[in-house]
Amino acid sequence: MGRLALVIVLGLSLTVGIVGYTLNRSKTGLIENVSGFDKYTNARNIAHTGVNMILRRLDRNDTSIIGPLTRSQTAWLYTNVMSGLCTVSVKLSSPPALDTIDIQSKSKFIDSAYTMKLRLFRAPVPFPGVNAAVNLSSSPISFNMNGNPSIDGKNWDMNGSLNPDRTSDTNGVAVVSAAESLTVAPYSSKIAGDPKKITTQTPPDPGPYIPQYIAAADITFPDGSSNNGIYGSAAAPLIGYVDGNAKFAGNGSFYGILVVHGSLEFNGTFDMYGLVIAYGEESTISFSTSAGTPAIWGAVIETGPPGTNFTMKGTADVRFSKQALHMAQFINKLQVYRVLRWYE
Amino acid sequence: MAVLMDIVGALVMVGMLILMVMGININMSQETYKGLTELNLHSQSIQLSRIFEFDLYKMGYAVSKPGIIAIAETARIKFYSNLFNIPGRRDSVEYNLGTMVPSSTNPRDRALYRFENTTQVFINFSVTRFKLSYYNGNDSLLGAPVTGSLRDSIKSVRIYLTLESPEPFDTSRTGGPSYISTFYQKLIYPRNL
Repeated sequence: MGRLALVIVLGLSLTVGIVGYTLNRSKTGLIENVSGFDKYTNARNIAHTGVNMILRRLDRNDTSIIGPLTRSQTAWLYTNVMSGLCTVSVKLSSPPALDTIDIQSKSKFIDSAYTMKLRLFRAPVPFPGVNAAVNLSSSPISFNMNGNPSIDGKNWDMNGSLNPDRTSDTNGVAVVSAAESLTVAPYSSKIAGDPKKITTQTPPDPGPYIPQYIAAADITFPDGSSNNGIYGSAAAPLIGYVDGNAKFAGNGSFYGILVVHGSLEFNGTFDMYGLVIAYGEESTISFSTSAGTPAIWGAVIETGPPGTNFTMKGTADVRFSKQALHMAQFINKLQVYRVLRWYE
Repeated sequence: MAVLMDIVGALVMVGMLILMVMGININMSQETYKGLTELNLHSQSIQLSRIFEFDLYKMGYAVSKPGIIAIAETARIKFYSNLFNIPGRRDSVEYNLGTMVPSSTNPRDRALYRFENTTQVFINFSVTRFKLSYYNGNDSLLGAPVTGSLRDSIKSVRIYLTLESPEPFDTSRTGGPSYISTFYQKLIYPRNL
């Protein structure tokens, strides 16, 4: 009897144990399934986050990314995110072109890995076309060039040398009508341009672009400020905004797009590379260069109410530069990315 | 007399014990079956979701537009892609819900098959719902079937998938037998569309 009871107890224990083990195994399996899928999803999310992070770095002019990229090298980003590891590389596609980039994002989350390979086409948001080195869209205008300044519609490179390609030259000054052309004409000896020194093409209206530039401005200069720093570089141009009047002087430089809602003055040996937009709606505005040898490489657009003033003094130069405008056009913040290929 | 009472008492106790153990065993067996079926369905659901995501995220990859999506119906989709990133290759992928599965007790389950180029593979036999919704670039729902050039405006696809066990786990339930089910839903934005 004792032995029978022992056998029964052992048998029952074994049966219950097997059933319990099987039950637990299925529960464990369920958890493993869920956690496995969770790991896969997390790895994917991390890789995607890596893509977003590198695009954000580009958008924010991160020189550690932009520097190698503009030298046609591969830039890397290693980051720990969401408890996983992400390695992202970005480079210009082959052959190197500023408008096509290849991104590869590899992520690891616990024992799951995920890879995304992307080719993105980036293009500037619409950019104001320019008809001349200086574009004046007010009527009537006040125009003066005193001393030894110059406006040159020939295409200059940013290093100060004349580009050998003459087909990309443009006009010196563009105005809205013949009356303004007559106002500018007395200074034609100080103006160069091809096909014309002074043209009566309606200059581009920068109005549609201004809100976007203001929203994306990297630097806002105070009203009445006098600025003599170095703002941006050829590799990392900026957007600057002034609501009011500002002076740029000294031995400084600015690379990118400068938007001034008011009046603007350059003097000293300040160098401006890119596009200058001076605009206003109510009171007259002025663009002026006073003393010194400031130089503007790119183009100037001035649009304001009747009586808007454009004055150049000293030995200031406004030189049309396709290269400088191209640089301003490709400010990273002003790029729209389009997916050409996305493999994951 | 006392010995006899002890024996009868012991037999009653043993009987009760056996009944209790049997009850426990039946319940545990049911739970085990349910658990294993759940695990099985869950695994299938995850496998299917991985297959869907593998294919759908590549929809349109390295193939020329338009005409990436050839069929966009409620329970059927056919599209083109370069699944394995082989230069110049163009793969067609098709999902379709087949007929009822006759061998199972479940009256609702159907077979789901996947065509890759010319190879047809039945990837599941327990699908009770496979529904696809299509959205354009404004995230507006496009009425299915999406036909003609409207297919080129598809920018995202939402998948609804329900799997049910082929056999019920509780046949005594009022209102019909209970089947174990699992559900997957995802809105996928294929980046190459």
